Amino acid sequence: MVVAVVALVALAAALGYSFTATTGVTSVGTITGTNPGSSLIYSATYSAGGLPAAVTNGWKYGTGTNSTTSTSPSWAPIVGQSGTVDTAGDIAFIDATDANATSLLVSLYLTNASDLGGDYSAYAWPIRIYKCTLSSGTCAWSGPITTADGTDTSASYLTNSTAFESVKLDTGADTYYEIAMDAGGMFNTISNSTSSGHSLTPSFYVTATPTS
Amino acid sequence: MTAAAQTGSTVRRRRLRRLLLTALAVVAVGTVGTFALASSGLVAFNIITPPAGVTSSGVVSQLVSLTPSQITVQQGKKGQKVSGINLARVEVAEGYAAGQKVDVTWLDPQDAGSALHNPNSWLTFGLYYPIHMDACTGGDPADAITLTDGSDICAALDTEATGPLVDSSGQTIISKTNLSGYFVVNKDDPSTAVDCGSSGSSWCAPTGLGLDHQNVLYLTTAITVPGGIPPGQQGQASSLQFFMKVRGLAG
Repeated sequence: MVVAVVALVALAAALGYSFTATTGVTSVGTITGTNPGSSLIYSATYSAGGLPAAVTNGWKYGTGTNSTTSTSPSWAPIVGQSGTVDTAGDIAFIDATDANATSLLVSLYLTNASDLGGDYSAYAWPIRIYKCTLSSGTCAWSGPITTADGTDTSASYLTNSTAFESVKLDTGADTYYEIAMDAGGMFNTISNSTSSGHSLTPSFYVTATPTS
Repeated sequence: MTAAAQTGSTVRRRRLRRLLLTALAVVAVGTVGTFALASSGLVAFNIITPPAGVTSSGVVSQLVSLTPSQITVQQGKKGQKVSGINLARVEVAEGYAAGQKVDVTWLDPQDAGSALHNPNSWLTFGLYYPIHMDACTGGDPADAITLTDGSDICAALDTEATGPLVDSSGQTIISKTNLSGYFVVNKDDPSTAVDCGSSGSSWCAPTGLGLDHQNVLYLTTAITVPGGIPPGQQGQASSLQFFMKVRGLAG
């Protein structure tokens, strides 16, 4: 008889396991954003552009010259198995340089939870927030950060039963943030259908509201 | 009708008309008077001070993850169940437990086969509230919870908790085919937290945890490992990971 010691660790960091793709790779779908007044949210479109004018080297996981092209997170869902996000990617870039606000209330909503439920019985997407301190147009990254209201984003997940997350981010000169999906997390695939009522790719909606 | 009678009737109608006009005039004056008062009134809002026991960031509940003691799972033909594993402490401002939603998601179900020696192992989750310090006695309808410092708290299962897959006992099961769930707390906690003594049967606040004006719940799990030797080679993982979150639903 073999004795195994099991340590249960709560709220742990992402695992980083990978699976061989047998049913294709999926990635994050539509990302939209809104904000009152000026542009605070820049959605990852996985093509060139889409960053504040002052930022020339922005996307954390970006590719191309000066990281102007964002990278889509991706994974390989296999029906009947659980898996993890294989490749980290970008979701949204946030301009927090507003001198008239002391913080931003940023919310991330999962907009197609119903369709995801057709293909996944459960999921926990590892949503992280990184801080960019801009210098000569280039981001110096730190994080995943703990937000101004105490959320440790190194251990935050958007799950099928939470569906949204709201955090408070400090503003400041040369201060930007990125919402990213890191490798790890969990999903359990029950179908790979793309017909109506099914989706393998989450879609997000991001808002940012300046607060004093 | 005689002329005298007609005259009397006309007088009565005039008196009635005069009375009605007088009444209408009083109503009109009253209405005008009301508007006049409103236009010069002052409106003040009574903003209620946040309740005692909220966190420094102003929320009524927060989840504190715990690192459980190492447990031992034996591989063999006989099934087994390991109970009383604390994963988190949910702290709520006194009187605000009802309406709190506690989410649980199993992050690494693929490791069940290696960590628990059987991929078909499953876990039962429940929320427990403390009823007194020290271990439970034989008469307590409760289970002992051992804190990380080694002390015991006797806690009772919150059987009023609800959720999509929460059974009538207030518990839910998480397995490789059902990897997440949540509880909504329905049981009312004391509006004024009562320190736990060495006996008792109602919800109390453990002393020594620095939780002034707060009540606590414990998210606890039990692991059931089926009997038999699992087929195939098992991996080397020796831990399981869960994501937990608490968020208030009540307005």
